[in-house]
Amino acid sequence: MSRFLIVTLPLAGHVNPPAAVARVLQDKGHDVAWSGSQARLRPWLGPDARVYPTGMRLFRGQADNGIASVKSLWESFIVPFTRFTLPAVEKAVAEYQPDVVVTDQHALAGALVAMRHGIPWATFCTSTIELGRPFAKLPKAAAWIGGHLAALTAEAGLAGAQAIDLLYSPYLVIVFSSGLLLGTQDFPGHFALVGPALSGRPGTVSFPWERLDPARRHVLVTVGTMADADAMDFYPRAVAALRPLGDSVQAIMLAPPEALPGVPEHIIAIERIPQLELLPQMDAVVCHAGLNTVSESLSNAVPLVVAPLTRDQPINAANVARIGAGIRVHFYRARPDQLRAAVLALLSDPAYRAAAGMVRDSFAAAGGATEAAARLELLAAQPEPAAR
Amino acid sequence: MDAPAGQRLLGEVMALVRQVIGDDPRWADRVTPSARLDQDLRMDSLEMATLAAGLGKAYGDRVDLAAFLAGLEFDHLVALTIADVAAYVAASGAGDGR
Repeated sequence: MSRFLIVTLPLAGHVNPPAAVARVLQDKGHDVAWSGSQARLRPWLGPDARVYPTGMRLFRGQADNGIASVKSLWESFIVPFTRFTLPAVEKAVAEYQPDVVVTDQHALAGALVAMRHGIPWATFCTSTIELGRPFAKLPKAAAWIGGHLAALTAEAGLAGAQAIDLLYSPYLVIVFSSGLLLGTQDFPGHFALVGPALSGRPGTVSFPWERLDPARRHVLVTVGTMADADAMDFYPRAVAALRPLGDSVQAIMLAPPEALPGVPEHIIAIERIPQLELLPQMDAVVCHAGLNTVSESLSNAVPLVVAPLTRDQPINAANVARIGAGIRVHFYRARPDQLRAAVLALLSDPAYRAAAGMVRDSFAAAGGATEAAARLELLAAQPEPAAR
Repeated sequence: MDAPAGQRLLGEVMALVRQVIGDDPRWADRVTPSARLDQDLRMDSLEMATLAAGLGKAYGDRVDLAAFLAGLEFDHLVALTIADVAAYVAASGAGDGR
């Protein structure tokens, strides 16, 4: 039996994949503990999870689109979050004495503390933003991020180790995607591309299943809640796109009711859905191209219209379009007729669903949470794991 | 470059940006010299690539928007305006003599 400490961010997309892996590890008799915000993690993890609290702080001032969103992700969230959580993660490691620290790629305190203590650690890539290398052709932006990483490393007393890369463990990097979707198999041997880890999320959200008409095709529109008026304008454009399609299409639109006044009968406006249960019934999904929704849709061979806004969404959208499993549109500029044409293309051309099916098969072959857990067990079992 | 030529160049770059982002007045009306490509016009990487191709076609190979962006600090990338792009085209010497 081994002990795994999972250090993650208080965001659903960064908690659900490691939670699925944790369940597999526990089923195999291992011990798992978490370091993170009690208030945020507890509802996702349930009452029995062992959580070493880091406290909670609001991180404001994050831009919600464009390259500005990547800059503020670092300076308004990742860097201050790392400094804020470092003492609590240090305490968690001292008390729990893990055999392996599993850290989210952007929960840098996990990497820093593991290195300080000489504990083997694994990186969980729960987003594609680093793998997608958005600044490959913008070297000064990349260097700016590198400067922050070097400063955090130096502050943690690890300045001597020149080769430290906080973003990628030298022992094991678990990527919750597949080489087919990412567009390359060209990863070092200690990278494990396991596909999405979707299993075991508790299904507590109800849905009016009786409203789904089996005679019509089904489109899920999920773009989350957005702060600015330009973004909220997406809803009326999506409604206008779908309005003439009532004979053949039903849409489930995830939105606050006040954003969708007077929608026609065939558009079901709803604030929460059991997404994993609903997706097998869907014929197309319209979304931001966040990694969770892209992975969950493609796991069901459902093609997507992707309208990216921020962070890794443009990378995921480009991957979906490249592989032919969907159509990319501009979130702000797509007109209703363009959105309608994209949805109708997915519904009428079987090539999109076939490409989505190839991605589903690549996910299934990758092993998901079971494979991630197996790789972690291997790391824990090595007396002195080799760093690559 | 004299002032009228600079103004003409600025107008040409604004027209190119409008071609790239389309004629929907919600966005086309925001195309001004001080408009930031990222945060005001919400130009994504695909649109930036289209703009780069359009600039190269209009002003020749000496205007290499990708190379210009590669030399910018992160803050400047985020704050980059249409006037900045026009100034780069002018500085490259490509806007002269048209």
